[in-house]
Amino acid sequence: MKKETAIQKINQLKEAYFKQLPHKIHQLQKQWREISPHLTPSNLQALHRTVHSLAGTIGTYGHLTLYKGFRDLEIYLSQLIDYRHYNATHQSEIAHLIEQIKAIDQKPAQLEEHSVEIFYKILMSRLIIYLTPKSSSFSRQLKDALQQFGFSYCAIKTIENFQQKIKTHLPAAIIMDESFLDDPMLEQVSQFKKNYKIPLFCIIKQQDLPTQLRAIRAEVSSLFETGVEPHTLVSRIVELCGATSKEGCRVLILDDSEMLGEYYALILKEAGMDTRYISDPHLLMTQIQEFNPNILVFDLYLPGCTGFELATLVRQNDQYMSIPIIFVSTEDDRYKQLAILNACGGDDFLTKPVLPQNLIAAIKSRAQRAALVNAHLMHDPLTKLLNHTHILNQLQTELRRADRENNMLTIAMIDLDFFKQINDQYGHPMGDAVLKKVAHILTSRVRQTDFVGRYGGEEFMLIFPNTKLQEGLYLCHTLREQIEAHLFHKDSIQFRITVSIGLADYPHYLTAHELIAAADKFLYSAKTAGRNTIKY
Amino acid sequence: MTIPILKKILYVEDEPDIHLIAQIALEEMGGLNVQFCLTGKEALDVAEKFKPDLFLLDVMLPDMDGPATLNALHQIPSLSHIPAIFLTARVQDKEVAEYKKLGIISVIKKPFDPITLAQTIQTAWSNYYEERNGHSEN
Repeated sequence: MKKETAIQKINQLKEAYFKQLPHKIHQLQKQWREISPHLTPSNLQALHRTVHSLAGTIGTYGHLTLYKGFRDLEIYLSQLIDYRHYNATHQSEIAHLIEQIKAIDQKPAQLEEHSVEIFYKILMSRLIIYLTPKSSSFSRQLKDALQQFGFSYCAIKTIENFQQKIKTHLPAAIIMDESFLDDPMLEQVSQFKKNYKIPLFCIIKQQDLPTQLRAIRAEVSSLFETGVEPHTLVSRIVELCGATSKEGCRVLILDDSEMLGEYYALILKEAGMDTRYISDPHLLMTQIQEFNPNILVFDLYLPGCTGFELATLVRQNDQYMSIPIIFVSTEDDRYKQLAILNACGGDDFLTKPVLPQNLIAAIKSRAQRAALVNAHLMHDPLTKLLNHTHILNQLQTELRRADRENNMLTIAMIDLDFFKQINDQYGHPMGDAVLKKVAHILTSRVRQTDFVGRYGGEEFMLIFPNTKLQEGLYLCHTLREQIEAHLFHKDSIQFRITVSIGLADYPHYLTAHELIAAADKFLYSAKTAGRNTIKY
Repeated sequence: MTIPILKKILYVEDEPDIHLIAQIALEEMGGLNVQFCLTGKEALDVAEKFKPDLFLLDVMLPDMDGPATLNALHQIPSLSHIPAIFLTARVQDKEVAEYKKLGIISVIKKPFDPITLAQTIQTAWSNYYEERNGHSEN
């Protein structure tokens, strides 16, 4: 059939083209080597033309990863053409981009992506893989704790399955059970971890030297003992892999060069970030309202104003007072402005021409830092729940949303029964442990859309958006039972605790103040009714 | 009014390797008759004689770029009404709007997929005529 023979011919053409491509790349390198000691706008332009033609053809012939390598080089060169002098950094960055192209070309055809692309994906990955032969309450708790921090979780039983998984989904970290230290295919995991510098955790029964050494030799970064609290493990993961909260990364780029702005947006999108680009400073504030970015990228020099001026303007707004801003500028500007930058605090510079991996790394580290700072500011250090101020803020936000969307909302005030006795009888450290455990039970049993906050010393507030009173009541029954069922023990001490709960709902009560007063009132009547009960 | 049949395309692209693959894509798979030109100047030399139904132009060409070439082609009386499609790596809304002002009926993003190129062009062609017919009936 016509179409089939045509496709066959196309494939033959492609084969022939890619066979002599190494030679073309070699020629490109030669051209580069000839001009690199004395770069001028005109010889760079010639190089750019060569790269542009190659990029176009390679793309049309269907080698998309190689195309991207050429495209990155092409755009880098096009940024340089306007410059009057070139330095060693430019030279080394061009050389690096060419090396990347060679590396892609030399890789066997099966490998879908080249290493820089994999780096991007790992940098932005939110997946945690747990290598474990069977699921357990620990793995379930781990999953819940991870999801709280916006990570997704995958339990895998064999290293073979692991290898299949990483073909399509790259993890941010790997946790593995001790049993895998004996697995004949352990080397596969170790190599992967080593190549891509991914944190590898191992959970072992006993911390004895032979086991520890085996783990270290298998490239394990951190050892944990069986019985570790999932939250502890997750905190470590968050430290190493960054928390970006339930929100994720939203980047807004402002650059008057459309080619560059679109290019940055494209790179970030390819790395999995939600990105928008604008070229007009007048649109900035409306875009910020609409899109609600958590990172801004500003070109330093825009028509009519500077990136700094816009930054000051944005920061007038309470909500964006500490939003991270990355400025993109040429090197000359940077030295001039460094002093001002230090005064601004918390911002970053990227020098043009911008390498894709530098842009991504800068954004990622900014997002991580911002999220950790936010987490610090907004969370109670002991229980990691939202602190008093912020659970109240959240209630206001949710009420506004409920009003807008004509929805119901329920809140619950939960207070530990006889908590003072626990502190007196078992000591404050035990009291703290109890609070942490209750916090954990609360967070692991509510839904993704609910909010849990530490309202007072032993008092918690829960917000259930889009929830009727009856539903909230049902959820609280489960929580109450779970807390009652949990056996606390330390050494030879064993005890249980209970909670009293008061519920109130919107729109029965219209304001935050009324809701809290009502829930408190019901909480009080739960206490007087004998505790370990719910009133509403 | 029916949609005329697309038979002849004048294609301007400076990369010979792309010509090779486009030839198979358009002539063998698409059943079209294509005149390949490496430069705008070459296109101006052969267009009148070839009498294409459609211009297919790469935007980034050395010397005369796509838009300039199209302008020059449209200066020739017998070719002034012939629709054109641009091929470009950059397809921002602003640019597409500018191109539409020049009379472009569609913009195809580069790198294009050779297997579907003929189909993409045919679809743009019929959409263009359907719209035109729609207007003339009102």
